[in-house]
This record gives sequence, structure tokens and C-alpha cells, in this order.
Amino acid sequence: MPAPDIGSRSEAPVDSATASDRALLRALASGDRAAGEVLVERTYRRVWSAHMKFTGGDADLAADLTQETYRRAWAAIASFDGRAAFATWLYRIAYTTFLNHVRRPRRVVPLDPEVEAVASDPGPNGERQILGTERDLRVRQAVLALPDALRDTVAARFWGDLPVREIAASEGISEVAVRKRLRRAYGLLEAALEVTS
Amino acid sequence: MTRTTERELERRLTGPPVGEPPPELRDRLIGDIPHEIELHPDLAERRVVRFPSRQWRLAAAATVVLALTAAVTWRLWDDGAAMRAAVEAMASDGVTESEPTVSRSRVVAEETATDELEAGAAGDRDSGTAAGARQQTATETGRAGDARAAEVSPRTDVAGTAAEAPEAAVVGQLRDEDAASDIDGAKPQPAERRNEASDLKLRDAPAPRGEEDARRAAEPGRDQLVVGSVEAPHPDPAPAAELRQEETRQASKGAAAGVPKSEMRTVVTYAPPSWPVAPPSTGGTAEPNDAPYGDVFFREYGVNPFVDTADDALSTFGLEVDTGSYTVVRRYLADGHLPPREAVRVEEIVNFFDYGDPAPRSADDVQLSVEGAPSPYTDNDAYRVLRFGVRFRDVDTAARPPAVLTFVVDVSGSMARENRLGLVQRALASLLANLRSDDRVGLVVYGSVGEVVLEPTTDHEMVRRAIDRLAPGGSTNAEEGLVLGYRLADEFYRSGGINRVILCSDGVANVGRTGPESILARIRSEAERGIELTSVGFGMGNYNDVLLEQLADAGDGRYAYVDTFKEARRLFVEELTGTLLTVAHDAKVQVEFDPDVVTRWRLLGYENRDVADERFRDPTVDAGEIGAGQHATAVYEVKLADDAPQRGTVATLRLRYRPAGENREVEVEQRLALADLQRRWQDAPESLRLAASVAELAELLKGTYWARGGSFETVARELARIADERDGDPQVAEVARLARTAARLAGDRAAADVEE
Repeated sequence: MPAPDIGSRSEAPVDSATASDRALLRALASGDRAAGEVLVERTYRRVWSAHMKFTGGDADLAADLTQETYRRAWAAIASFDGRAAFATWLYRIAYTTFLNHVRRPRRVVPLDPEVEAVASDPGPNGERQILGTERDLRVRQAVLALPDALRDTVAARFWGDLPVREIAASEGISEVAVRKRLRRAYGLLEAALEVTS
Repeated sequence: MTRTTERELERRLTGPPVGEPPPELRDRLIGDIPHEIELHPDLAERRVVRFPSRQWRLAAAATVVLALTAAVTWRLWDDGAAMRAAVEAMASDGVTESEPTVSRSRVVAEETATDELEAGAAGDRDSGTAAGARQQTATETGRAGDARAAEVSPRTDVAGTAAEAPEAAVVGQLRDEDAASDIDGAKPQPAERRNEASDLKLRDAPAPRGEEDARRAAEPGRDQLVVGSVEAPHPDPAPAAELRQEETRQASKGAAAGVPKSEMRTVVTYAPPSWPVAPPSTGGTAEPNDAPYGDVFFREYGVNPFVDTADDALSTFGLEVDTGSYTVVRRYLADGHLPPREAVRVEEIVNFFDYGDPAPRSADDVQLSVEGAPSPYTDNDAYRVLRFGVRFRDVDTAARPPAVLTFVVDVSGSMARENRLGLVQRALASLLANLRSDDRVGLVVYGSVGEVVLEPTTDHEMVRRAIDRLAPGGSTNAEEGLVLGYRLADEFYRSGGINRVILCSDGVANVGRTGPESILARIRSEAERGIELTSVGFGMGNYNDVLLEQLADAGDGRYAYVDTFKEARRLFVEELTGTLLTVAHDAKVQVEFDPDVVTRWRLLGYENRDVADERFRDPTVDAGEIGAGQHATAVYEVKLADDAPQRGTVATLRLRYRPAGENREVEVEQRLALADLQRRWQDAPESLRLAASVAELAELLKGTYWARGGSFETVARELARIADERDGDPQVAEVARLARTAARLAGDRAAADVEE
């Protein structure tokens, strides 16, 4: 988490270890691309990890989506007002990026059935590795099948590893409401996954 | 649910650890860091945050309460003893009172806390500034004094000042009320505050007017007054500078004397205003209705509104013949998803269909068609739907100039998915089969790096073999691929011929370290030289959609999305001459409505093609490039005046363009008379009904305000009827099926919403 930037009076040089995300963004805005690198360095593992979980462990795809996430983030950086933590903001973009990815036509219907019949898509890593274990796959599918609001909350909590407080702030609802959603989701997931303790 | 079940669920949801990201990812991300960014105004100014008014009021209230508390406290100590003790305590804590005779007229203990300020502030001791500064410390000291009273032995030379203390507190209170009323009066400046300062205000000393703006900070802890590090604007810059100097001096003095930082007692400092009085305008970057950033990433061009003819009788836009949006939407629906709204571009969906407009006579480049009728999709009887069609001349393959085609093919790892690369290979193979023997074809591929596979050659067999050998792998360096492609195209440039770079990609493009602007600039300058770009998307998402479209637009070229081999064949083979040979440059349309006949009008689609009315005849406006045989359609809704003259003109369609290879602009026009309008929808030509229905479908998918009364079912029925009339025209039958699918999916979604 960013250190508070109390007392940082000069614009440059930015101390990469302690500078706040805001200070880094300002440095980047003033042309210091190294500050951007620090921001990326600080955040990309979390973004990638979220995409790994979104995609069920497809490292290649997670990397592509991570890149896409940052590209979108940079394109929209003027809308980051600092009310949420930069990492939380990035998570939201990552999630939107992922949703667009699953919503867009993919795997469900092959691009060209004719071709697909002849040459199935082995992918660079092979199907097994992409899907992870059978159980992880089922959990993922069950989460994706939740009603939108519940799915978003569960994803933010467990795949984005965001604290309830941050989720509440970024969705504009109370923490109680977040917990309620999680509980409702648990109920549905329990039934779907037949979890027994 | 038991706690154990819950834990088990949480464990499964969290999933196994994901490990470390691939090593090259970091480089890819760093390569994408932009060279220029624009920050949100809240961030652009250092540590300035918008302070919510509710908190402001709380702050003001807290301030008043503190001031009152202080007043009462001082009252209780009216006998002076405790007060003297308190002041003594402060003095014996190492704070020296330097000028005891000065300025104790109103405030008691300010010197104890602000003595180091004295020298600097002496000059304006009686000014509001200094009074304000003192006044803040009054309460501060009051509380500190409270805490210390017990441990102090009396030794003081400030007798007599205590009696005046309450006055100070009351002054403080009054000033605070002033400040509070300022807030209600919505004075702009106090509305912007700093984090730390505002935080302090909430739990700490009251600050009088003027100093509200100055937002000084002092650590409330007993022994820790933070060396002033808070910059704040000062109402008067001159003393500000002095104070700052003094502060620095004091700070260094403290450091030199080896005083631990925690014991350094400083004080409030001022700095000149650090932000412009008016925060920078957000300009066009703000999202409509404060939408979350999720909406930012798709290029949403909005929806054209109705325009009163009295305000503006001219509708001007660049012509568009792209059809990418239809194939994207088709793909979504075929897969059982409603497309995201941003993916729906009405004009591209309308333009996908052939409305059977007549081809131009041999001498002409273009033929215009106009028609209109009442429509079941409009609000009431006063409305009509109009269709304007533009069709350009075809060019016989044999008659077209020879072509130099440089294919730039994305062979990155993502192209392996869904066998995208396989589709590209098949599309290229069928294109080859339809080229003339004097056409040259070159091939560049890019994964992590770009590579010239084949320089443009007329040996098509060699090209075919090269295409067959393509295999996916690596990351995506589109920029390098494009640069190489353009180098080849340059080298093999054929004057008088068709020179074109064709980018085949899934759009997951790393635009390289230089950002999209540099590649766009390159594409633009090459287009000026006559090398055009066609970008073809294979299996991509929305953002990339925008990127590919931008690339093609910059390159005066075409953008298309290929979802099936059939589409690839249609694009590469059937429209080959169209995609290859541009017959009209900068084609612009202007429709002029007669205000006596039409009271309001609305153009469906073309939102991102808007051209200012007065620039219609401006040859420098960059507008649509039209290939041979291509056609475009614009659909309008208009409201007719109740008292429209019988023989009036509804609208005049004007088309302006620069014929290929010429330096002049040509303008043609066609008038639509009121008498030409059909009286009933059923009597309208099927071209008009098809265009209106397809536009309605697009608007429903886009969820535009104007289509709010419509339903997919109605459109589906209408389209099915037209398909029948056209003897089962497969294109129309297909869109009718898509409308039914959309109806089903929309129904499902509505049901799900109700459940939720």
C-alpha cells in the first residue's frame, strides 16, 4: 500500500520505494516514465493474479488480459480521481476487461466449424493445463453463473483479493451489503458445488 | 450454513496460488506506458482533494464546539492561577517567550506556541494574518495548558493576560461561525482543502477566516508539533515568504542544536497558493453522468438526438461503408449473447445490406437514391422514415490497375485460439486464387518480433507455400510488423497501381514502446503517399475493435471483422475490387431539410462521422474513402409539419467527393419531394422497409433512447416478411433469425433482472 506523501515537497526525483501512487502518477504526467514503471512494478502481479483466477489458470491469456488491462487503464487514467486506491481501480478495469473477454464470442462456437472440425485448437499450453483441475473449473463456472451483482462481489473478494471495505467503496454500497451479497452467493454456491464440510 | 462449510467454500473460492507472472509480461506492460498522460484534476493538483460539503459542515461544527469548550475552560480559570500555571508550564517546557510585552492585548498563550514565529510575524502583528495565527494557537494552548496545569510550578510574568482569554476564544468562535457561513455561501476557495489539514480541522483547533484558506497544520499531540510541511496558500504572499524563511531557519537551528525531531516545536507555516484559482476544466474527458470507468474503454460515440429544423436544417457527415459492426453483432448473437452496446454501430449494420440501388450510368461515378414512408418504428403518424442510398461505380477486375499487396499477419500466440490463424490462411489462399498474375503479394509476420517472410512477388505459388507455413507463437508486436510491412510497400511501390498494406490481426496488439500515436502518424503519412491500409480483425474484442478501426481510418482504408470463412471470402474475393480500388476520396454527405415541411430530424448512426455543416465544401476535411462498387445508406427519422405545403421538398441529399486520381471535388444532389413519400408502410419499397427494420434492430441492440418503444419481436416479424418477399434472401433471412435470437436473449435477461 502506498506510503502517505506527507511532506514530499519536491516533484522530483521520485523515490520509487516510498512514493505514493499519486506522486508517481504526477511524476508520470510530468514526463517521468520511470515513475510509470514503478507503478506497473507495484501492481502488475496482483492484476495478473486476478486474471489467472478469472481465466482459470490460463497463463497466456492472463498475460494478454493483463496487458489489455493496463492499456485500458492508461487510456482512462484521466478518470482516476484517487478516491479509490490505484490498485482497486486497476482491479475494476481488470474485471471489466475479463468480462468483455468472456462475453465476446469465444470458444462457444468455433470461428469456422468447417476448419475447427479438421484442426482443433490445441493452444500453446494444451487444454489440460488451461483448465486446471476439474474442481477448480467447477468452482469458476459456478461463480460465473451467479447473478451479476453476486458474481462481481465474489470475484472482487476472492479473485481480486480485495477487502470488503474496498469493495463497498468501489461499488458504492455499504460493507453490510457486501457481506450480505457474499452470504447469498455462498448459499447459491453451496448448492451448486454440493459443498460438504 | 455452517461455519465449516463457509470456510471450505472460501478456501475453494480463493483457489490454489497462481505463481509468478511470465517474465516477459513486465516488459510488455512497461512498453505500453504512455509518454503523455492527463491526470484527473483532483490528482493533477498536489494533494488537493475535493472536500465533501457534509464533512465541511462537520468540521465547522467541531470547530465551534471546541471554541465553546475553550471559552468555558478559560472562564473557569478566571482567577488566573491555573492559567498562570499553565502558561508557566509551557514556558518551562523549553519554549521561551521572546517578546512578552507585545501583543498580549487579546490572546493569551499564543507566544508559548508561536514564539518562534514572533520575529517573522512581528511586522504584521496587528494584521488579520497574525491575529489569525495567534488565534488558532489559543485553543491549542488552552488544551495543552489543561493537560499541564498539574505539573507546573508558578513562575510567570504574564499575569493579567488570563482575564482576556475568554475574549480570544469568543473571537475564535465568531470567526468560526463566519467560516461556517462561508461554506454555506459556497465560496469556491474553501471548498478545496488538503487532506492533512482537513483531517486536523476535524479534531483540532478552530481556525478563523482567512486561515481557513491557509489551512495550517499543527500536530495536536503534546510534544510533537510537526515541522511545518504543509504548503498552503496565504492570503498575502509577502508575510508568507517571511514565515517560510523563518520556519526553515528555525528548523535548521533545531537540527543543528541536536534537538530530536519529535521535540521540535514548530508551527504553522504558509506557502503561496499552489494551485490555480479555478481548477482545470475536465474538458471532454469527463464521462457522461459520471459513469464508472468501466464505460470508458469502449468507444461510445453516443446517439444522435432529434434536431429541430428551425435550429439546424443541415445534417452533414462523412460517408461510411464499413460493415464490421454487423459481423461482430452477428457473432455475439450466434453465440447466444446480446452484444455490448458499444459494439453496435448503427450505420455499419445498415450498410451491410444490399438495398438493390441502381448502379450509376456508365459515365457517372455514383448514383443517389432517396425514399421515405411512415414507419411502424416511430412514435406517431407525423413521423416518416427516410432512406438515402449512395452507390458507386464498379470496376472490372481486368480494368483495374495492378496491385501491390503487402500482408501483415499476426502470428502471436493468441492467434492460435479458435484457429484464427487458420482462418487467415484460408482467406489469403482464396484471395490469391482471385488475383491477377501481375499483382504482387508480399508477406510480413509478427509475433514477438516482425519478420519479412516474402518480398512482394508475382509468384503466387511461392506466396501460397509461405502462407501455409505460418505458425502461431510469441507475443504481439504489431508495430514492428506494420513498420516492416510499410517498408516493403515503399520499396515495391507501384505508381499508378494499387498499393495496400493489409493487416490481419486479432487486435491484441502491442503497439510498441512508442504508443499508438506514432504508428498512426506513420500510417497517415503513408496514406498521403498512396499506400492505403486495410485492417481485418479476426476474433477480437471491443477495445481492439477501436484500435483497428483507427488504424484503417488513418490509412484511408477499410476495416472489417471476419468471423467466418464465408465472411472472409465475401471480403477478400467478392469485394476484392472494392477493397482494393478506391474510386472516391473524402466522400461527405449533406442532407438539407426544408423547415416548412420537416420540423425535426434525426440521423440514425454515423455518430463518429460528424462533419461541421460549414465544412461540407471544405476539401481539407478527411472523410470516407469509397471503393469501387461500394454502397452506403443513411436512415433518418423526420417529423412532418402539420401544415406542410403539398408540393414541398422534404429534403435534398448532396454528396461531395474527390474522384480518385483527380484534384477537384464533385458534388451531386437528389431531391426528395413530399409527393414522393409513400403513404403507407406496406406500400413502401422493401429496400426502405429493410433499412428501417435493420436500423431499428441496431438501435434496440444499442438500447438507444429513441428505440425505447420498440421490440425485437416486431422487427423480427418484419424482417421475416421482407425475407419472404425477397424469395428467402439469405442475408435478410439471417438478420431475421438474429432478431429472433435477440428477442429471446432480451426476454431471458429481463426475466433474470426481475428475479434478481
